[in-house]
Amino acid sequence: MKYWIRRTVSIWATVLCIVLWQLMCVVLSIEPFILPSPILVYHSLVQYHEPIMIHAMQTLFTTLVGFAIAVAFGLLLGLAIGVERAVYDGLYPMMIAFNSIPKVAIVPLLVIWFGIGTVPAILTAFLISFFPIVVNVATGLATIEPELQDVLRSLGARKRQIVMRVGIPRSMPYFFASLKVAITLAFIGSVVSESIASNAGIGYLMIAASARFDVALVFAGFVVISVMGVIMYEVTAYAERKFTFWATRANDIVT
Amino acid sequence: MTADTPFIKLDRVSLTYQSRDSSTHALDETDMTISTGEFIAVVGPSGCGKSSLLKLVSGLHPATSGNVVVAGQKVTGPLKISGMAFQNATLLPWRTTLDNVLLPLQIVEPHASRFRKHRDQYEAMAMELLKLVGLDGFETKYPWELSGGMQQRSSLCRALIHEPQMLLLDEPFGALDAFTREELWGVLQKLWMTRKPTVILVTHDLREAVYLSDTVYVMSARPGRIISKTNVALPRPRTLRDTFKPEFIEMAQNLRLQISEGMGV
Amino acid sequence: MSAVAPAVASRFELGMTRALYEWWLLIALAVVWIAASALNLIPNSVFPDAQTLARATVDLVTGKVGVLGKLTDHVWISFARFAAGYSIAAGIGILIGLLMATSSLIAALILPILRLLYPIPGLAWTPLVIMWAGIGENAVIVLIFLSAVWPIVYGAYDGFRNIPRNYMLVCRQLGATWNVRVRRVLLPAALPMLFSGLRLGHGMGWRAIVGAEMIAAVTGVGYMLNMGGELRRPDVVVVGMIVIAIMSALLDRFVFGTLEDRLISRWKR
Repeated sequence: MKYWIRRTVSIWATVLCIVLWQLMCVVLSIEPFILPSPILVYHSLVQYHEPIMIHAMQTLFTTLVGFAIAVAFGLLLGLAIGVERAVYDGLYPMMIAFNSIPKVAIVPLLVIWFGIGTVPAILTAFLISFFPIVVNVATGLATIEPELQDVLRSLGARKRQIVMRVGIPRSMPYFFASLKVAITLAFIGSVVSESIASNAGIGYLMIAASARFDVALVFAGFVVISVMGVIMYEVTAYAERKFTFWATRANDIVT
Repeated sequence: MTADTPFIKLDRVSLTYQSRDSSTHALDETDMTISTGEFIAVVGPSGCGKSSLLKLVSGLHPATSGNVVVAGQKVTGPLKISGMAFQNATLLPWRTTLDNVLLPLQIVEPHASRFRKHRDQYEAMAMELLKLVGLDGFETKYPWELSGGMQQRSSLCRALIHEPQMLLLDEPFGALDAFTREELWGVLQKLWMTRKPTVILVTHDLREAVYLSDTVYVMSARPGRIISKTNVALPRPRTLRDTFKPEFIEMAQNLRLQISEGMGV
Repeated sequence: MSAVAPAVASRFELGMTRALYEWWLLIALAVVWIAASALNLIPNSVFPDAQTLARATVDLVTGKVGVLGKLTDHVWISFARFAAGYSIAAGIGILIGLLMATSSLIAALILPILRLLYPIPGLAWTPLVIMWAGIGENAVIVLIFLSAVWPIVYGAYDGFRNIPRNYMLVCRQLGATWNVRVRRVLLPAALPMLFSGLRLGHGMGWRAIVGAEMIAAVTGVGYMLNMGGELRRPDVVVVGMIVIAIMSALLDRFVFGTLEDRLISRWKR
């Protein structure tokens, strides 16, 4: 019983917050213009469910495409950096510089290159999310024990064999852990890019709603964003548990 | 190979590690002769270059000067005829015990290219080894489901699966509790007596050295050099009971004194 | 003297070869870019070449680009907004963290809200904040606050909460005054966690300011960037990106780096 309460505590907290919010709006009779009550937000969700659905699908699409590119690119770059010292040396200063630029700052450049719309959103999602994947994959490769390398090298293993047999599996837990961060970042990137330079997507919907002072719809957008974010996070977390089940247990290895 | 040709021969071998702004003189003019199938132990103070010795013999690191000859050939690179085990079992957590033991066969030739076709045959070999160390029934377990002692047993199996002529052990039982350690001495002795590889065991534990080896070498503090060589003429198989006999205890005590002298105390 | 000279030279050479090793890609790209600029191979409508970038920088600094305004003004405005939003975030964040750490009731009340709000990216608040505060100064400051405050609260909470009980016991035993307790024990013990929260919040706030100015302001570096995009001036956008990177690196490296050295490394030793 206690276990279930602990497992579901965040759900209960959310429910409690919503109830308190509703009570507050009613008791203090707050203007819907300042803070709409949950019921008003719900009505807005129902009323605008069709456009919300279309814009949410657009955001989902840009997020997933950007994320997919980030995964492929991040994995390759991470492996290259982790395996080849020269690549690491060459890219490291650039990565540091790149990481200190807020990715939103690149959006105007993307708009100049590709025009307003889907492509800048996809590219923002990609640019904002590939970095943690690269870092984690490279870190994972660096965790091969030197003793194990000795064992393999004394057997005449070539670098490629060590990377394939040990390095890549070893870095998989790091890779999957980074996916959780990356999907969230990709989602943020899409939404932000849509807010600045798009005519579709949840980010655009919210900005448009705020221009019409439709507070309830802005909040509805908020709800949709939160739900989508949680679902995407949970899917990647599930993939992590599924594919690298051994990693959480491997910490118990006596060393 | 005749009895007088040594299996491993070190001839005035020195080793200096060079880094950007410092150099470490690890081994100094070391001579050693080890015959085929001999079990030797190397003991000495921490950081005296015992592990460097293993790197030289396995061909992982070239000597700065002098010659290392193994099986009649000058060592210039990894030999592929050695198995190694360390204090850290370094098993791969995503492989079962059996698959961990099989790993060397997927890398070393001629097994690597035949592995897929003859997997059953190789698995039988691995099972035989696991049985020898008392791990039958655990082959489908993952390393994190094994105790430290069991992990070390699997690590020994992994070191021996490709039937190496030479087994290099770097404090393999260093992280285990005293009882498990002594149990594994028996396991290692049994492995050696069935397979008869040439063994170099690096250890801090003098009782371990005397229990297991034919010859014990004592090394001095850095730069390491051999300062004594003791033959252990106790009959085999040795048992835990033997470790309480006066001649055993005397030998261990003598070694202890030599190490103190080697440290300049 | 002469005996020292060769060693110095070789160290210099060593440094140069190392730089070449470690920066080869950056150097190679710079060389390609400059060469392509010299040969006029880069279409300026896509990416600025060296001379265009230099001219844009000069024009922006001297304020000759009309509607885009003066770069230095934008920098100061962004900087002031950041300072305002961040100070409020630091003050309120530390206060809430301290309250939560001292009272488990407050912690129980605030934690669920915190868990709910923390994952929301600061910029997602933009539409709401625009409606509440209108476009301009206040909106940007509120957005910086909303981005930076959460990690600071968490850092302060963790820092103050994890002070070993023994410290407090010793204090009581020695009869230390409140003043001594806070200044000599509580703050130093909580500082590492508190500090990492402040630094994280700084990064978040900094990231937010650009986006916030793009959407909800008509001044500041973010606005300049966005206008550069709308005017199809890649040179302006690139200058803006460089300025932002330099500003954030300067703050992070010098302000936080120095503070960390001064305040924390002393104890960690």
